[in-house]
Amino acid sequence: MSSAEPPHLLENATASSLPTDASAGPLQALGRRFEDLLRRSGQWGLRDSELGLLAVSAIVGVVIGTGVVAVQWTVQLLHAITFGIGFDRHLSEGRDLDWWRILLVPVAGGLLSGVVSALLRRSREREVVDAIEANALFGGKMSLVDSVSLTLLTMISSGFGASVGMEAGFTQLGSGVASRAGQELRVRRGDLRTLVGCGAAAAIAAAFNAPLAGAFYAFELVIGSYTSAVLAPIAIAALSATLVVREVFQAESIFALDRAVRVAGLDYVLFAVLGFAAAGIAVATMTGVTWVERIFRRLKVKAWARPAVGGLIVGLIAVIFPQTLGSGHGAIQLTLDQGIPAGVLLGLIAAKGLASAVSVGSGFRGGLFSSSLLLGGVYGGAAVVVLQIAIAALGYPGVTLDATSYMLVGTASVAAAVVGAPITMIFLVLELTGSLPAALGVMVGVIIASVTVRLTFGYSFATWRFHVRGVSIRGGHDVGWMRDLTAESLMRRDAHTAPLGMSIAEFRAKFPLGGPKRAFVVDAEGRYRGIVLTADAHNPDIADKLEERLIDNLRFAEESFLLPYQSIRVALDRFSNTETETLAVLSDAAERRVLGFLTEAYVLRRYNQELERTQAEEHGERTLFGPG
Amino acid sequence: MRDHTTSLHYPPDVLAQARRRRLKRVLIAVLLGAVVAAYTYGALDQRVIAEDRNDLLPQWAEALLLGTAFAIASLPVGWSVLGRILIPVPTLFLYLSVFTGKEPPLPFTAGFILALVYAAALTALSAYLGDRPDRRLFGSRR
Repeated sequence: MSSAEPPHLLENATASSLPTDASAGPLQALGRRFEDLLRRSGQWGLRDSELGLLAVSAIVGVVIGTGVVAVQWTVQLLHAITFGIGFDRHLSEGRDLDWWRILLVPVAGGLLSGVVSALLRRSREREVVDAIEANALFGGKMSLVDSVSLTLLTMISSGFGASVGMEAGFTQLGSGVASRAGQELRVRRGDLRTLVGCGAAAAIAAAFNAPLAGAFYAFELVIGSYTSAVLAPIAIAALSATLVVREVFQAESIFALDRAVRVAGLDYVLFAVLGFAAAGIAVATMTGVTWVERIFRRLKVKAWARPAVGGLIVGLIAVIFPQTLGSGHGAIQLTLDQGIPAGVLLGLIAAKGLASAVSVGSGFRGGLFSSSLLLGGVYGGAAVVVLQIAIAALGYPGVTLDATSYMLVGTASVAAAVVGAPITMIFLVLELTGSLPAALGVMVGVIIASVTVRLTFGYSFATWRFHVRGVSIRGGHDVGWMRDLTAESLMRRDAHTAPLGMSIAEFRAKFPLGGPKRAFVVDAEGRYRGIVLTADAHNPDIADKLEERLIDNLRFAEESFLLPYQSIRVALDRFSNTETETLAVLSDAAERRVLGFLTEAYVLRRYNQELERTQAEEHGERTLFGPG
Repeated sequence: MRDHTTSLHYPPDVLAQARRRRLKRVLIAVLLGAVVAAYTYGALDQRVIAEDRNDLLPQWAEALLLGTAFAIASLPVGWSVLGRILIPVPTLFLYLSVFTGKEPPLPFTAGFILALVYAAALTALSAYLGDRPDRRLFGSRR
């Protein structure tokens, strides 16, 4: 309900939403009161207030920061219970793990994940809409229940050792909570999209203790663009989440450097080479997930059992390479501390890529964000060994490369290519290391990797998943309004019909010049048979035998029409292809009942209006169409 | 029997597409061979006993040979069976040495069973990749 509606309607809504059932539990009553409070905020002018949006962003940031820490602790607790490690240790450090636990726990996690997924799918069959899809197609609308369910599944996956990152769960939870808050507050479509971005920004900022990375994650992936209008809410959400994580929970960054990074002239050239190869690793990992899914489908393993089979494969890999277990945060630090031998690093590239592809492809829920960070780190570590050998072989034994800088470049390059967020990765390295030389070096590798993936493959992991599902979106940029503008919503309903076989004389009498510009011809069963223009029927060249000549010969566009659900994009294409200015909107292709019609001029005008409105929203020009 | 001369009558674009598809399958086999070699090298490097590392051949040579055998076994050609014959026994012994030689080592029986699983998995995967000239290979069209 909008704030523009009469007060009595608001009052009614408020009254009806108050808990009236005495038997309702105190938790439900509290929930209803909270929802009621959110609804009433519409009366306070929150919908039209930029300051109100900033306040909501800050609250969202605090809530999500707390939620991320709670989820991290739960997963850590699961690791402690299932793998028997200390609460202060990371699973992927791979130390003191029992081999039988490594084999059995992912299988048990796979079974649990598969069964929970199957149960959830029974009640909610649709695909879970993530933050990018929600912003691109649904104007920022997400289901909180779906988001919480997906986060729960991600916790099970990561908690039982599957080689997946938690970031997908964090962003789903964050953007789901923010979207729900926005929907309860009845904010505008543009503001709801911004709030979804705030949720994702807060989640990533809290997960990595890096507010800039969180904010730019939202700009690059979830909002789809950077504008000054969305800067403040997203930055505030990211900052407030980071502050909560740092000051209240004293959480640590995923990795820390205790030494300076050294970058010289030759390094930049080698970083470019590193970035180029990183693109190959990223593409192999992304397509690997799809391959694994296809293999599982061909093997005809039941959907609920697939994660258990995947868990067995992950266990078999992790018995040799325990660093592949979980999200890999411990292993990233271990890699940067050069605590993994060079030979093992080489094997770990293959092992981590395979374990991640098998985990995601078999049905464990989670993403590739932190997996790609580890993959990139070990790749950078292995690459620097190979480069060092090559430089020595070329006759420059005195040239020593700084391994840390190459690991950082590898980390950011692979992750940027997989996640599709280059600036995010540059800021992530800058914030976590505090080293400008490292960030500059990373910039070279990241740009080369991102451009290479964009030109050769064309997708990030998220958009690749959409592509595989048949959803044609390339990011969070809002294209949903085009789907919302359907032929049915745009059409004029005052379509005049004329029967097939009508004489031109009758037509002229019924449709004189100055009246309706066109008539839709229908047969005896009322089925659409074409359009006749009034001007054509009144053509002065048609002067004799008007009682005998029929309008049938003046008809056109008999097979060109629109259906009610078709979008404005389809309508524009149809006008262009059929070279007509008017199209009938029919009930369906078989029944062919005329519901209304569309003209090209009107469709173009509405398209331009919506385009202008969307751009105005993105640039924060509220006064153009809003109440000011 | 299929008349191979009939392929001469296919349009050039169809022949070019078939060549590209075949090249892609060969590249995938080579790429996966490299992955197996890297994986095996990393696994062999986990062994802590010095004598294990250079038992028969240097570990890089052992990893490379296994990767090459896997690549050959994954090729969509009739003689890929030669590669498949070479995979099981060396894989069993190499990975048994990994499981029993890493820190901490696995019990021999567990290590043997896991090494058997690795040998079987690599053989089965290469058979899956190689033995299907009439089936789609990772998204390629027939």
